[in-house]
Amino acid sequence: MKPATATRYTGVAIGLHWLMAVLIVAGFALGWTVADMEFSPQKLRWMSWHKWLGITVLGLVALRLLWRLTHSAPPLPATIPPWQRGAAHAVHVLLYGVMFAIPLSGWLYSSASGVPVVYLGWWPLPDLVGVDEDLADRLRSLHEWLNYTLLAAVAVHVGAALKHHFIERDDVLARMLPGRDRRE
Amino acid sequence: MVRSGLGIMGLWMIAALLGFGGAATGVQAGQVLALEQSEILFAGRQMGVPMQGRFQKFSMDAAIDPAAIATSRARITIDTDSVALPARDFTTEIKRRRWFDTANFPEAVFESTQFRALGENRYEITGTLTLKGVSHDLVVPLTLAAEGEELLAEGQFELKRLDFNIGDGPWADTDTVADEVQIRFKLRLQPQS
Repeated sequence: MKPATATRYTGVAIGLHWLMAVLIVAGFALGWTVADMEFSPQKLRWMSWHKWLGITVLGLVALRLLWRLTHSAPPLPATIPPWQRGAAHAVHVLLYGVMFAIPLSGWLYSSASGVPVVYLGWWPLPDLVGVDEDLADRLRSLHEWLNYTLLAAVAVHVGAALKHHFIERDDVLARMLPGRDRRE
Repeated sequence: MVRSGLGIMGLWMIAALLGFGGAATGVQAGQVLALEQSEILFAGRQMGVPMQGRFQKFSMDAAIDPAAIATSRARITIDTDSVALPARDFTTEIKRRRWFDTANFPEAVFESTQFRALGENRYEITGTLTLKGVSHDLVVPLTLAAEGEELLAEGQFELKRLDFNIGDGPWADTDTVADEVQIRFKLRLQPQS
């Protein structure tokens, strides 16, 4: 395992983290909006963009997991108690899990409801399951609940990062910020 | 000598049968559609995603005879409310006012005006399609295959949905839903009993 520099994530890890953060927020917001929209050309457009974002996240999270498995994270400050280390690890594992599960459940939902995913309107992806209305309804609920889980995990993740940065004033958030070598 | 005599007689008989057959079909006895062995499908694209729909109910009043193609005729009536797409919300939408408007236009009709043989088993029907109150002439290529007493007509062609105001208003945007729609049909005709 190639270690990161003592106090920071690698540039690739930082780049993937923030790129995916932006894509996930955009995909979440689009999905949230589209779910209750009247059937319209705008809905079809946004629905497709939502799917393209999701597939992009799925591809990136696979790269990111490979990167993470071959590049260790910088160590946490020694002052952090073991239960917080455990909690941080658990939330990271959960985040990786939902970053895979949400796009996959969306793709499955799309296949089951009879609307194949055509990435960027150009590249047809295979249908993962056949058309099945009951299955589509269940996959829709699963997709929704996974997103509530994501929302909760992100709230804990962001809350903890801000707490470390502004209250404990340690290096935890700075490790993932671009463009600064270390917090003085 | 005897053998060749029989041969000539045989040819005569075949010719007589063919002639008689031609005369009989010249009357243009009607045919009925075997709906469960027939299909009318259409395929379009939204945001690059192929979507295939079909009509589940349609009827046909026809007298098609490959041996008397010039006097053949066909009239197909489609129950527009029987339209089905793979996704439920798409099916609901396509019946609405902007699309097929099935409440006000419950039927789409294709009526032939001319049949033409193109060689082998290929033919061409010219006719008028009336859809959502709009009529356009179409030339539809098809093949005809006799299977026992039955006749199988198959073909496909493309039309533009906006020629018939299918998907008007905001849906007229062809970047979202393509204008081109491929129609594919398979019609099994049985002799009227």
